[in-house]
Amino acid sequence: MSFRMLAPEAKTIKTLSFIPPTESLLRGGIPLAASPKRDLGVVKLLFYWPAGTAAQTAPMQARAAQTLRLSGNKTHSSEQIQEGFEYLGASANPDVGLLSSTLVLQTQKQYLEEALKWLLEQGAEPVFPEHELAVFKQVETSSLLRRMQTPRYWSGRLCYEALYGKSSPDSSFADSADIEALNREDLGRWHKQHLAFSACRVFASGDFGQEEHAVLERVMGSMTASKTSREEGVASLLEPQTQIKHRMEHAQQVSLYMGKALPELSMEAMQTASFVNMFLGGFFGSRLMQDLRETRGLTYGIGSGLAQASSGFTWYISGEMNSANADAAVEACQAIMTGLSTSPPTGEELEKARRYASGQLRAGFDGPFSLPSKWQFLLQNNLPENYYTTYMDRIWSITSDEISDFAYNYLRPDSFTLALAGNL
Amino acid sequence: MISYSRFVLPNGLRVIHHFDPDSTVVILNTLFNVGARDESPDKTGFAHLFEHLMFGGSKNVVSYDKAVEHAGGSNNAFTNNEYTNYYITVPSENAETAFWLESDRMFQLNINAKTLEVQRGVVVEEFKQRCHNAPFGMLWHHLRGLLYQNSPYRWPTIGEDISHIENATLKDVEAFYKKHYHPANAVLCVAGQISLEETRVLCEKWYADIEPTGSVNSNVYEQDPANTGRRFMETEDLSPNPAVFLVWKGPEFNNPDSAALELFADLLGGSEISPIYTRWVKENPVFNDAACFYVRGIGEGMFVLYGVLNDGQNHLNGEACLLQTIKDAMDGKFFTERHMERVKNKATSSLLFEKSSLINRAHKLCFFENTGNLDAIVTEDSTYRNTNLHSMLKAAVSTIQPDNAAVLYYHPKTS
Repeated sequence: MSFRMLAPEAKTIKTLSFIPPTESLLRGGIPLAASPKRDLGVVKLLFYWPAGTAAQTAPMQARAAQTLRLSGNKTHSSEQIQEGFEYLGASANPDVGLLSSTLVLQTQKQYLEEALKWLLEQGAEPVFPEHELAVFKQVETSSLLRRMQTPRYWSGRLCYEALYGKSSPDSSFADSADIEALNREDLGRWHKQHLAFSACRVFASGDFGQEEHAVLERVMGSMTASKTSREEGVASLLEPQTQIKHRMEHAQQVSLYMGKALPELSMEAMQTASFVNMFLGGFFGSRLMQDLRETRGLTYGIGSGLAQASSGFTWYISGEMNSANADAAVEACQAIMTGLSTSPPTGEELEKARRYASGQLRAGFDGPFSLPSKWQFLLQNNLPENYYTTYMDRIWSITSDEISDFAYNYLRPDSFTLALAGNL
Repeated sequence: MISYSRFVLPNGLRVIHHFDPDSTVVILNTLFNVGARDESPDKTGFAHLFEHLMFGGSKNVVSYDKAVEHAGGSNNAFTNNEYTNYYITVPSENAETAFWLESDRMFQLNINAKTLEVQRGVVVEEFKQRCHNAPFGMLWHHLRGLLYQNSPYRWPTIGEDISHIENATLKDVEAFYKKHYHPANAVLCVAGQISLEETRVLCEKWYADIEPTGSVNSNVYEQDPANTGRRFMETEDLSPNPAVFLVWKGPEFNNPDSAALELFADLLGGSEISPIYTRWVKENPVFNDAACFYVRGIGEGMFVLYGVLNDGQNHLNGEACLLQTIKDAMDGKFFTERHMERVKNKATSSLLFEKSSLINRAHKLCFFENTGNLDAIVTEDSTYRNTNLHSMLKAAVSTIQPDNAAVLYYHPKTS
């Protein structure tokens, strides 16, 4: 018998140990969380504000304000500001989510002080120049029109709009008219209200040690932290519709999107939902992926996940397939959802998901820049620091019956909104 | 500074070990020296199809993915015109599982009619999703087709035509596997929380008995004559905005001009302060998006310049704007020593951030080994640092001749 026939013993990963970020306050009270130092020559600073699209009063407001905050002020043009970063080999990249806005400063360690000063000087009081806003509108409109040509855009949008309502913060999809309506005054107000550097938290990672901490103190220490609270919109929920169809003449495929709101989950329920999602479509070995792709070849990709909502999460299934396979795919998705309660995971399936999930949980903490996003997730969802370690425990303690009960309560196909877009 | 050790097994497998004391995982990155350029013109897309078939199990592994998941690991792969790269990440305690899985599929992949049928279906759907269902989805088909006449670089990784995949037979794929998937045609990087000694022992155990089933890919392919004159194509696309693309062939990765062209592309159209963007998106809004970049291939490079036109703008004017800007840049009208310092600082930062990821380091080590110059990974930054304004512009002038461009016009679909 060849030694190759015997699989090496694969050990189970049951514990999660990592060095948490060191949390402190800068002199003026701005919170700082610093990951353990790594000798890399580069530093990443993530500036976090607890206001995202859920708090905006018009679509695109949050994104426009954050994207354009470095597009000019009273003394420097957009080009001069950007050139200042690039000359140092640094970058400042904005991002906006449902519940937060961030700005990530990436720089070589040797240029940290210069890059940080430049960011604070140039990004503190943006004037949102008219011509920069016009370019932004032109670029965004064009990009939106291109996205609108894809079935995936419409299935997702229609599902969210049916689920939460068109004007809900959870489905604030912009149209061209919304982009056109953006104006400097609103952006200025948004910036002042939500994006002051004194109102941010800082997450540092990479080659960040005592010297770099001292740099942060020198540059930001004198700023007095302003009080912030998590900004939320008012979440709404509509009765789920059974099916929405959007026909697209040119499309060669159909995009499927199913969604359901999961508001106000306890920490344990959230952990259970995350783990149950593994069985549904959360990894390659999930029922959706194995049945629809690997066994039947109906799709290149299908999966499920929990997307951040203004209150809780949206549980979704999404995938693209040939139009001839669309009905079969919908039926298969619904059967798999139901099947999770009627045919609970076997011992083998449970063990497979546990092993995979625990390995991935641990691997998610690998690397010098892994911690900030983990801490951001905790902040956004008001979760305690032991969330990840208790999730590891939950993975290994949950039973098959608990999984099927949870699926029965939350995964009934008729409780999901289904949207199909494309070649119908 | 990246540290590594290299050894070669008697069967020709080149192994690179890279230790990372801070990591909790082990990565096995396997690069096979086979890409789309190694395919027959009537069987394109095979290298990429193989990327899918390689997960179908092997002689002693019924289900590859199941075994990876059992070990708490994850895996993926990508293919380009020049090579196929597979990577698996496992908790360091389970490093040997990765050796077992990766060696077994190099040793004897289980290719059968059922697996082939399913994966053909998956790849066909991928083709439709990426190429037919997305704006500019056929871009690389068109650009490569314009730029190359006989060279196998004329088709993209996904394949020239969907029918090549639909018609792939078991015999075809078995022959492809035998020819290209063997130790002498591969580079393995073992990276992470694993010692050199353990790496040697595990490589010896799991890989040493795999015989080469083919020769080392010499990477000889049909070369086109130098392009002369403007080559032109226009077509319809899902994008509601028309667009202009200009493309030129460029030098190979190991040619210093390749790094120079990467810097030139970054300065010319790599950011929102570049002349291409400021002139034609911001100051005179001919385009709503415009940029350029250089694709640094091992065998062939490609300089790509494009603009997505605003309403009311026409293709001819758009092309003229792009060409005038590139001409002005090559005439020395834009860039100074400060620009050079800026673009080199960007390149240095980019390399440092790229190499902060273990998976990137593992891939890069294999990549450089495959180019025939592993040690160049250490001096990669100096290839940018040693470029000066004069050498950068010289590289640009010798590659980018405005009257020698391959030109593609996209029109919005009318029906």
